[in-house]
Amino acid sequence: MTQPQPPGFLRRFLKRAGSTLLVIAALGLGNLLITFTPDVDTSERPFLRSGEQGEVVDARTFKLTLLKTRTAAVVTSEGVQHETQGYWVLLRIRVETVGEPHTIGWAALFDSKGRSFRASDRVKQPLVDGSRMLQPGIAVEAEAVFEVPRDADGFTARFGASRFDQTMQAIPDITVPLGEGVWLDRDAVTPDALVVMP
Amino acid sequence: MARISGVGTRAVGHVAGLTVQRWGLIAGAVVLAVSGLFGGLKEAEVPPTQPGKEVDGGSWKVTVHEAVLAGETKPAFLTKGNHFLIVTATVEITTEETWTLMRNVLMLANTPGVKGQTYNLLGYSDNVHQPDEVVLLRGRTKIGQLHPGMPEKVAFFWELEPGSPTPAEAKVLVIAHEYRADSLTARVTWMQDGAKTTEVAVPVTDKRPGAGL
Repeated sequence: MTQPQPPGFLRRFLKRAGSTLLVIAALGLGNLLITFTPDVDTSERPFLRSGEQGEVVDARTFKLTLLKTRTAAVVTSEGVQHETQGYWVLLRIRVETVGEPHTIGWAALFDSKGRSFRASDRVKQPLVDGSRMLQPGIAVEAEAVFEVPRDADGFTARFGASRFDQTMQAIPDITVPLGEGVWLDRDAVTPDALVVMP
Repeated sequence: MARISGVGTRAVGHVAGLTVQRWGLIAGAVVLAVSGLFGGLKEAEVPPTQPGKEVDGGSWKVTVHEAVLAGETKPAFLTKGNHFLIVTATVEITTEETWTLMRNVLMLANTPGVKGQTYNLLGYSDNVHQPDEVVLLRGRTKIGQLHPGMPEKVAFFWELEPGSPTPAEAKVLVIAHEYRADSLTARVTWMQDGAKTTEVAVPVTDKRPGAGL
């Protein structure tokens, strides 16, 4: 005894509608996967290691401590006075590499508006421009100098070994303790030179 | 008269009876014929911008001020016998981060005698050169970067070889960038967009020999 079959045109319709529904379902599933899969920039973002001034922050290949923070209207470097339309932020940092020699090639201040300001190339900064090779176990101190606009505040300072690529790297992210209403040193300030610490 | 009227009526009837596809074909043929008469469907050439006008390059806003021919002008140094073509401009970085490729802001096109290799600017066929040096006029220091939120007056230096003709006008290109995903790495970043390059025609003042700026 055979089951009654729907008419031929209905069978054809259901067959085609089923294929169409499967295609729509596959497209919808693909769209969901794309929507909820993080993009390359998110999935390969740096691993930020938060810290405060005075705290040793471990960035796996180096340890970094923010020792002192100050601001200035004018910075002197190699006998030249550098004025700015914004202001200078000077961070005295101590760095010690772990395991093998490294350089620090990238340093930037991130402000509360989401902007980032790389360490200035108007003054010579061998500690954070990648030109000073650091040896493991030998701590080095210097002041990193940043030029920022007047309306920038709420900074954190980040440092990385590579000048160009911070993806999936451990990056210290240290709160810079500048209160509201930055006080500027009107005298020209000379950044602390690089010194090797005992 | 009646015969002409009969032909006209048939023609009107024939036209009225054309299908949409036929109308589309006819419209396409007319467009091709008319555009062919006026040089085809190539993009209309945009006339160069004048100095003093702000140009939006996507990643920056640039106002070109002037161009001078000058001798050695510190902090840039010349090969003996050469001279500089110096273009000054106000540059404001509009990205959220420090821009570190300052030699990609302005380029020089179609200027004979420029020292160094030409630059391959995508979407642009002219003979293009990057500047040799970029100098921040505040403090006269060479720079490789500018920060967001701080527009600065900057000088761009190109070194010209001896005997090169004195240009009456410099064809300065404000390079444009677009914030989009890189088709190779899928990273979202600022990508050069040669098709949106803006040309600025800048009269050149000869200030050789001397300090220039």
